[in-house]
Amino acid sequence: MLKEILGPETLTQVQDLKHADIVVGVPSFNNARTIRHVVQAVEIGLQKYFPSSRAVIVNSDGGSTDGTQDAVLRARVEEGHLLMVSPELPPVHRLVTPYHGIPGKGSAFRAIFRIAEVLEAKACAVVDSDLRSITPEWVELLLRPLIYAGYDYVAPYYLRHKYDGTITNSIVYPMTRALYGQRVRQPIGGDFGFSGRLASHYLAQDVWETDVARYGVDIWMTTTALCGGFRVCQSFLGAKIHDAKDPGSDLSAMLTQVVGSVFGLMETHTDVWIPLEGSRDIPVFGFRFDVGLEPVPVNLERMIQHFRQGLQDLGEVWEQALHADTVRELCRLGQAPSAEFHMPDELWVRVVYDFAAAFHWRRIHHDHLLRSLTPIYMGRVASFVADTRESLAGEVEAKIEELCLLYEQSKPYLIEQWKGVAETPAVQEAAVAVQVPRPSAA
Amino acid sequence: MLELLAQIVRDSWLKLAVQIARLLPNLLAMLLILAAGGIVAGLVQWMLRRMSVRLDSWLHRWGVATMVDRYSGGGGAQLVARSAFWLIFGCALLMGINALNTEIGTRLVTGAFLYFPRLVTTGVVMIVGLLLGRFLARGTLIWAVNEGIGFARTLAGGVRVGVGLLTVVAAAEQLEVARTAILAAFVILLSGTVLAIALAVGLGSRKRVEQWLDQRAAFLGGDRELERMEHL
Repeated sequence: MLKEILGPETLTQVQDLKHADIVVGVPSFNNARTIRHVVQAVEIGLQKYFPSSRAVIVNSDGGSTDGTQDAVLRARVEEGHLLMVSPELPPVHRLVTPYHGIPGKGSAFRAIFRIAEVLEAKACAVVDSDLRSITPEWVELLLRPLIYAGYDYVAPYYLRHKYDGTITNSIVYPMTRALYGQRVRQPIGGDFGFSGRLASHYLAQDVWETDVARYGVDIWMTTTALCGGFRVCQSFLGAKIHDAKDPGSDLSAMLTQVVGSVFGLMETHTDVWIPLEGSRDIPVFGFRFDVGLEPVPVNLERMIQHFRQGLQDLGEVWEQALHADTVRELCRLGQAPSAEFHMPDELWVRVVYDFAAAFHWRRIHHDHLLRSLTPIYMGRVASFVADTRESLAGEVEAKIEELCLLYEQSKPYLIEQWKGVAETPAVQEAAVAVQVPRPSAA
Repeated sequence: MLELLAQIVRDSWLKLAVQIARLLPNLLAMLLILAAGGIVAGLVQWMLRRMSVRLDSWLHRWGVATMVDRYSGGGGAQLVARSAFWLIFGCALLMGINALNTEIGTRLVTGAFLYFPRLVTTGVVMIVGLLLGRFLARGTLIWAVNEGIGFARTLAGGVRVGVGLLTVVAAAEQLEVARTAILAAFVILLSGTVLAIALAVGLGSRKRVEQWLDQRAAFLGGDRELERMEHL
């Protein structure tokens, strides 16, 4: 089992190291441009904040062809960076290993968990390899609550532009909070700290041949920690800036993967989330500060157009997934002029809960169901952007808080749909025919 | 002369009566078989309908319910029950015809039983083709909407028709009914469609295609702009 995950060469390297107090994992795939900076930041962070601990940086690579692995090995910390630390620096070991198994971030994490387990590490962290805003302090913030405060899981808390993280803000955060009762603001942040105990718990789960190995490992880690009774906290990391993404990356596929993972985990943890009511705050470590965030240009009209086309063409699909009243309200919304376009929070929450129930009852093929959510999601984003155009960050956060409370209050509706009959009322009610809305003049 | 004519008619009637008398037991047997077959088929249909809740729940769990419902007009279990009725009744009908013990009847029954495996295969091909066409068309429709393609419905319809035509060709192949003619028609239709599209793009609809490409470029441009927005 051990050899299957790590491979003989890596296993020998790990066994030679014998023990480590801290393991920091950096999963990568063709990140040569940014990974050097990430590894340097992690190394400085480890030397500066944990000088007495034996630490290992693990690069779990998915077969990069752009020299990512070389970049990791060649990344050197220049002395000039370290004026503040002791001149006698403890060495930070580096391991570069290709991961085995299904290609994906989950498999990369699995190799990191296994190495942490073999080295009997007390505290571990994982950070994305495409980060441009990572600083050595991130390492401290992700590891210190584990080592000194007895936490098992540290979720990141970022400062983000009000239009960034819309899937997180409108679906993943409110859903996770309403379902599992703890307010983890960035459940799919990508940069986490976790105890060695939790790493072993992750490894013991029978998910490594499923979609968790491909994608969705972030939400899986957070949800597993929440449902497993582990102590969870958050650390304020400041702004999160990535390397520019491929412009052709498919929003629909991304939405399908993230929302599918959330819904899939609902199936796994039904016994946990159904009896829970309300939610509670969890501690946030770190010094909070404000940073200037780059403006995010948004094409509002295009989003509304996408929603309208969905309404025009996907009515038949939505009728199978949504409640009749929800379909009716969406139709009304489609007829509104662009300037008055507004999707009420209540409607959005019902859409998400109806989709969750449709996923559970397999009313439509999962991929079709989740992809058909994209136009409604675009409508929701358009509405959110229009509503918060003049709002400051605090006001936007208050609006997200309102949405979260609505998710929590509407949970009985979700449970009713989840436990209810397999047939959707929209299908039964023949009278609800989706009227093709004519786009009104803006 | 008249007496001879009367004699012939009498003989004919007599022959007919003898034949009817000879056929009557077989006819009665046929009616009995049909009645028994009808009763058994009805019973099986009734039992399957009673079990429909479990079957429908299974179909829902496997995600094929909505596809089946659309064509069955009352749920997957209804479709199965109705199919079972007609299958049993059809068998009874063939047995009944065989019981008549006529040359035509025997030939018909033998032919039907020899043809039966082909009929079943054709039925399976048709059902699979229907479901596959619907599935692929829906996938295409959703993809096209998310890609901002204006004629998403037409595209999805094209996929459904294409799969439908392929299904018909495959079914004809199985049944060995006008195989060459149907295959030739399919190839001509396909080539014609491709040629028509090529001509339309090249000549008549060049402006429209240009317009569409411009719109698409604008859409992708918008997408790139939107990419600045981190959704996760």
